[in-house]
Amino acid sequence: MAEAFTLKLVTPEGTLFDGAVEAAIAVGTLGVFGVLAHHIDFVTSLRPGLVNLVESEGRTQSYLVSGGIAEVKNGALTLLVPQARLAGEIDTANSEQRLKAARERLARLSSYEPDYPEAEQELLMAQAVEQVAALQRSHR
Amino acid sequence: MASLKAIRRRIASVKSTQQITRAMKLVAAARLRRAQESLLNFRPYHEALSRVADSVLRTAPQAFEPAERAQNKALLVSVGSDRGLCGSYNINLLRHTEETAARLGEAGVETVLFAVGRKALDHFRRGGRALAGQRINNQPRLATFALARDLAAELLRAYRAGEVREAGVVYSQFKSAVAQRPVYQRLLPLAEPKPEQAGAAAAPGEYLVEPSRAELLPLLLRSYLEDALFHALLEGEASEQGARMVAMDNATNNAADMIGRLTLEMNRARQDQITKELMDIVGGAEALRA
Repeated sequence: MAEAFTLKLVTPEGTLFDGAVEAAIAVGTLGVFGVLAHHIDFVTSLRPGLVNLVESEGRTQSYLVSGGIAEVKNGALTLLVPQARLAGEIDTANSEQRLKAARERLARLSSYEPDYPEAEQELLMAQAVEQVAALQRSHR
Repeated sequence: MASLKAIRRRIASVKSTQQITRAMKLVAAARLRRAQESLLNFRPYHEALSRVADSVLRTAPQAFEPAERAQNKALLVSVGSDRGLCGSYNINLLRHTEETAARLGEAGVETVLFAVGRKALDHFRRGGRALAGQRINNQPRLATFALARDLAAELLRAYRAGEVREAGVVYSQFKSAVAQRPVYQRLLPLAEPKPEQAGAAAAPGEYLVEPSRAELLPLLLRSYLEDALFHALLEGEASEQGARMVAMDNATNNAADMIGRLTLEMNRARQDQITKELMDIVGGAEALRA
């Protein structure tokens, strides 16, 4: 059994998770990373995507986050996220259309246009939602 | 003296006004509670972000100097309200905005304003002020993170483009329901670190930063601005509702006083009438007897 550490998932609207976990896996700008107890003090930017938390006894929780910052300080992980939702609460009904629309929109824009970052963000969000949808489908 | 009927009508009208002010007071109280809750919910985010931003942004203050050849202007976001009937809330806030602009003016910096809330916009239009933008009809809530994000984006854009050399926000600090204090907070350029803090966090390698400090700075700076502006909006919202609650409480009490006074007057008028009628009867009876 792995050692537990404190994780906080905070948004400007409130704290979504505050408790002990054994592991956390999130998507950073440089790729997926995992955090266990006694991690070095660390700051990185997050990409829109899923954050998976492993609580004791193997229970897991997934949150969809819109980006933000991850900080490890004295072994405690804080995820600072503008928007986050429990993966189970996400409406995945139109996830495929959304992903398709986001791809097409991004394909039309050049990277110099002011809408580009927003379109890129939307594509990443759509990909994450589709990922949730795929998970839900496989559980059925 | 006014006729009995006229007084009755006035009492009825004051009573219905009182009902309205009482209802508005209750609504403001409920909204104030919600705003205070939001402030409380925001605190963990604010504290964690300040910790990270302080330690990482501080290591690169030169990255936030005004753009070269930046115009000698300052962009002030003034956080007012859409609706009135909140006592001196807007007046105090707008006066503080004007004072801040005057102070900057003495230093030779011209002020451009960004109005949040209809009352602020109307005021600046009347005064013929240079407006950089506006956000009105922020219903049902003023303090949304989306609004903070838009404001932060506008400040950053103007600052980076060299349109301004300073950017900040004027908002009302919520002390309590009866006390709000308008303040100006300069956001850009970033404040110099306080010496004692700089000593405490002297080690720039405090955190392992990925991808790199330089690449993380834009995100951190944006997050820091969004955070500060959202905080200002939340404080403003709580202040507005607090001010409205107090104003409506006073109005309700004034209405009660007025009803009391009018009721007294009404009773006196009624008594006068009765006395007059009695005298007429007595006078008539005397005349018959004679």
